[in-house]
Amino acid sequence: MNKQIFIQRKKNYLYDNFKVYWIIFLSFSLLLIGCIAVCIGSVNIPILELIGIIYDKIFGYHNSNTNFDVIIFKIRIPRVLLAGIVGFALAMSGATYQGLFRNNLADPYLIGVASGAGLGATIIIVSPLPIYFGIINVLPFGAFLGAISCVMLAYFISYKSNSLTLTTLLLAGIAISSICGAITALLMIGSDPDIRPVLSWLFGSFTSARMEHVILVLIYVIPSFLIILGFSRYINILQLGEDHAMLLGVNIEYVKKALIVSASLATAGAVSFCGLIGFVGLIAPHMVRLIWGTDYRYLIPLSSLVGAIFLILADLIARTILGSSELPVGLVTAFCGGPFFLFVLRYQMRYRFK
Amino acid sequence: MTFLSVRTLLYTLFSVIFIYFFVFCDNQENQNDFSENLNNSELVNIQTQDKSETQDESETQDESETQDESETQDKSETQDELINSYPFELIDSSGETIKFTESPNRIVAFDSAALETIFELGEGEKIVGTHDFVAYPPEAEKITRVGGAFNMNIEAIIGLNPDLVFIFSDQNLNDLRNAGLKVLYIESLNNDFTKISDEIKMWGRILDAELKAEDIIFDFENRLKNIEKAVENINIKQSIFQDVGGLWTPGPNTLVGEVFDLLNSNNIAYDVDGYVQISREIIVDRNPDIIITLDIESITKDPAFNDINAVSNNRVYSLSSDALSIGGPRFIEGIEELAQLIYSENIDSFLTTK
Repeated sequence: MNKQIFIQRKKNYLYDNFKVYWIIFLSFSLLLIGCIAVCIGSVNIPILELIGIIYDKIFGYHNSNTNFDVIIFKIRIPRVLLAGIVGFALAMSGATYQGLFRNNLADPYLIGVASGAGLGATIIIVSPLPIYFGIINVLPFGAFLGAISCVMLAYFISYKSNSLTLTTLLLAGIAISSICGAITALLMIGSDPDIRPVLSWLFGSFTSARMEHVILVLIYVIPSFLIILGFSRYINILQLGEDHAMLLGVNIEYVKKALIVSASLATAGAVSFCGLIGFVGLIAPHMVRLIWGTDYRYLIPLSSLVGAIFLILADLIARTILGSSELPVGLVTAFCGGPFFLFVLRYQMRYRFK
Repeated sequence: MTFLSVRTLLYTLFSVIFIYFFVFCDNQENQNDFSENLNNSELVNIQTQDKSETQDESETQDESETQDESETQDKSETQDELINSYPFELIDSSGETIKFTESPNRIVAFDSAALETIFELGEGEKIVGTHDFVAYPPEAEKITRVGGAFNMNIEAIIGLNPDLVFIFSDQNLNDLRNAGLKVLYIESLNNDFTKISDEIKMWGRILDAELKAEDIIFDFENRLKNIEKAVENINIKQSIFQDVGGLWTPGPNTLVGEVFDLLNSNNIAYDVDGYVQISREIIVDRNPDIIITLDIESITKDPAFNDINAVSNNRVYSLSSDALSIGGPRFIEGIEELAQLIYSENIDSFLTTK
């Protein structure tokens, strides 16, 4: 008997180790895909020239062809980085929410982040005020404020006598989302008929990515990731239900608050610069769960990496498929992610019931 | 499941609006039918009538018209009595034949271009209703507003008791016709701005102000010819980029795109169809000499655009009016302003008016 348990443990240990190798492998593929994405774009830069430019940049030579220089360092690299970080953040928050609410349909926009950010951005775009205040673009801040205030509202509505009711939070989030969605639609109807900028924002786009944006998003994403990773063991326990988790000695109020605040902050930060990109936060955790199992200690880093890779690729398609014009990246994630996800679901079902 | 359906609804709403815009931008095929209809059925008629008059008479009338308007109006009325143009029929964009037995007195002009044309023809007091976003001419401020493109208030239109409703999209066409209103539906111009004069001619015919319409067209075409003449001798082609918000830009087969061709400048978005969101890489690579935008700071404050010609030579402009976005009689003013921005003092002598 003892021997059997020992063998089982050893197997588990090996299996977990494989997941660690997978994390390392996915990190390297993320790096590789990021490099490939920098090489491809609507402006065709020969690969040798590209290597030359990067070489010159590293060793401080001044390159003669400033056009390519600007395209790579001021447009493509920030863009790929932002896409990766946003995909990372969205998939991470999606996995967290799915674990926390024990609901497979949960995505990062569940408790009002998306509609709040949409409302904030629409107010900024529709209002006659200039979008630039000095050198600062006001739009992301409007979106961020909208997102955070919606989450806060839902949070405080469901907060009673020092405890947080998740069902109420969910329902409050849905109600607030509907209200904000309605106000957004009203503003769009009442504004000038040329609302294309609003539309491209609502579908998500990395067009205006800059290095400053990358840094600002990172400020939210890195602490959130560390907190969520630290609490991921408790998400595993929360799968048993809140009562069981409490009986096992988990301070669930603390865990819930920490997870919700960090996941919402990461989502709000991500959404504020690139608009509402759907589907990443939903499918990345599901794919990881179907392939590597439901242990949240591994699910969270694995799905974050998958989300980052997926969004970099989706953005690559969005900015190259139409030649010189752009497609909203949200459309690409839905078009490519949807069928792929269906395939994974179907494949998994066949495998499971064989 | 509730939240899923609410979100799905919102996404559907946005996608419907989005698709609507795509359809909106890309219907150039029907446009040709419209002008053919006009040319074949009606305008031939007008031309033959003009020829039947002696040329001397019309010239003297033109001169007197500039001196005293009231007199010429009387004269033109008598002239029209002689012509006795009513009733006549007109085929609109939906293929419907609209019969005019007399000049309409209560018009709902649900289109900025039509409204401007009617005001230019001096018949502005006949307009009883228009859409929410009309900003020109100032006299139009007092006209009752009956909603925007997405929320046309049909009851309010019926309440105004109009004897002609002019619309530019067929969204509410059937509802309006079912309400027993006489609806003239002509799609708004998406390309070929020379057709603006066809529309002016049509309104002149409908409103019994053909001579005035001929005057406006003469002025329009004259100013157009002056610009063409001025631009003819300029050998250096300057590249131009117009940002209509969020880097959306007109392609070559749009009204503005054709103006760029007319002004002998290269539109950097030469390989796109309709209005698209162009990628920043392309802007840097094609390096426009002139940028026309709504928000100058959004271009000049972008670090990626620091080195492009337009920014380093301080040639980022914003247009003073929305003339170029409305295919009405004021369009020529927009062309002239653009010509002045591109060629500055070289072209001043050719711009005869204003």
